[in-house]
Amino acid sequence: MASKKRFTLIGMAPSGEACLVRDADGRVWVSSIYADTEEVAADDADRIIAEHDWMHVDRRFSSWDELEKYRTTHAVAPPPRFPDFADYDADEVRDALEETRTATSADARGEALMLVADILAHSPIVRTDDGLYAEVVARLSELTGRPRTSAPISPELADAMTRFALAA
Amino acid sequence: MDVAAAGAANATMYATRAAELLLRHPQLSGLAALLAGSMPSTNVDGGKIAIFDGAGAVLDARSIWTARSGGDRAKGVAAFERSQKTWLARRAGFEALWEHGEAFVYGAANPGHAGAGGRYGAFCLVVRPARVAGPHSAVFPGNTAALYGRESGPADGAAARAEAGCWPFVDDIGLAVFGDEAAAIASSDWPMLACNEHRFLEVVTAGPIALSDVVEVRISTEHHADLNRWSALDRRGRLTDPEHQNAVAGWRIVRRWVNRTRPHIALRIL
Repeated sequence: MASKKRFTLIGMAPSGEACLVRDADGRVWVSSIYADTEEVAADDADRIIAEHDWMHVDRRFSSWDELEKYRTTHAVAPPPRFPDFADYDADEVRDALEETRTATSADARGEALMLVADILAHSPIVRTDDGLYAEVVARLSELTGRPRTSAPISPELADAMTRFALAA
Repeated sequence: MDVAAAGAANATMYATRAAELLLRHPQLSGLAALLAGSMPSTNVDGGKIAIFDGAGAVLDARSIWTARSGGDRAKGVAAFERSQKTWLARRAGFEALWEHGEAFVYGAANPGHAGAGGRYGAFCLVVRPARVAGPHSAVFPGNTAALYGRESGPADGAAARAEAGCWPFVDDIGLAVFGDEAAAIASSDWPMLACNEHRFLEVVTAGPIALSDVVEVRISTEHHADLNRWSALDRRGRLTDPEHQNAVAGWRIVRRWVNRTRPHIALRIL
């Protein structure tokens, strides 16, 4: 009887950012958050794990979803990340604004708009630093001044724009 | 033996081979210039960026695993050895040839791009060339574990000593290794010929490499956009899986280095 286990997680980066998977046909693939899934020579599996300081797993799964769930569950927890918007300082605000500058797709621009709106609405530093306020508003204007994306203006964004007297 | 001494002993050999190639293919002076301007680099993921940030240095593999093991060296070395599996004898055999071999950090001579291993990690850390030009540092014509290590038994020390080189003549080494192939292709393809996932000049140096010796972080345009998008999602609590969160954590650390805590490090989006 053929095995129902279709995918083998050969090894993974402890952070979960990339892993090596063998499919039911014995083909080996690199799955990475940084690139499309790509086939590699099966003989290279151990070398790749060794060179990149990954860990061997050698566990079989009956579906890709099961494999992904294992990878997510067993990836090391990330270090402390972002503070609440209320605790943003000027550096954090400027970093966030910088992040929005590579948003080109409709979805990414929608997310960027929401981020700037959240900062306007929830980060007190913006209200006490005139220069920073001007930077945030300028960025918001840039994002809203371009051709309308498919992302609708959320109630949160509309509220922020109203509070700061910006034209919708 | 200091690996740098083995490399220095081959300076004339590599210079002679490079001169012969330039005589046959004068256009390779462009390749020589490209290689002379290359920089030592290594691609890492966000998880490793966090470890290096905590240590204040780029670490060797055993030290990386020790950090992952909460600072327990014995556990870290055991985890390192498990990770190496069939490559342990090759890697350890090569390192046993040299003083401080177990502390080697491995990289590649990078002729100006964002690194050959982008799918394994978006962050290409570029090291000051002088850091790999001194003792316990060398340049080899390829993957040292594959070239000189063996699945069992000691590494091929004679071959390793015969092919070692040093950073100050990395252009001669590169000409000797890639010259004939480079002469047959367009010069625009030289950067990827000289540094891709499967072929590269491997740079070894005894670590740790202090972050003060890291001079650039290179990120591809595509990865830069991805990192920013994930970061924007994470700020709003909408990035739920740890692999992307680890990437964002690495990106946040890199930005902190560049903008605030280590301003000598330049960020290059390529």
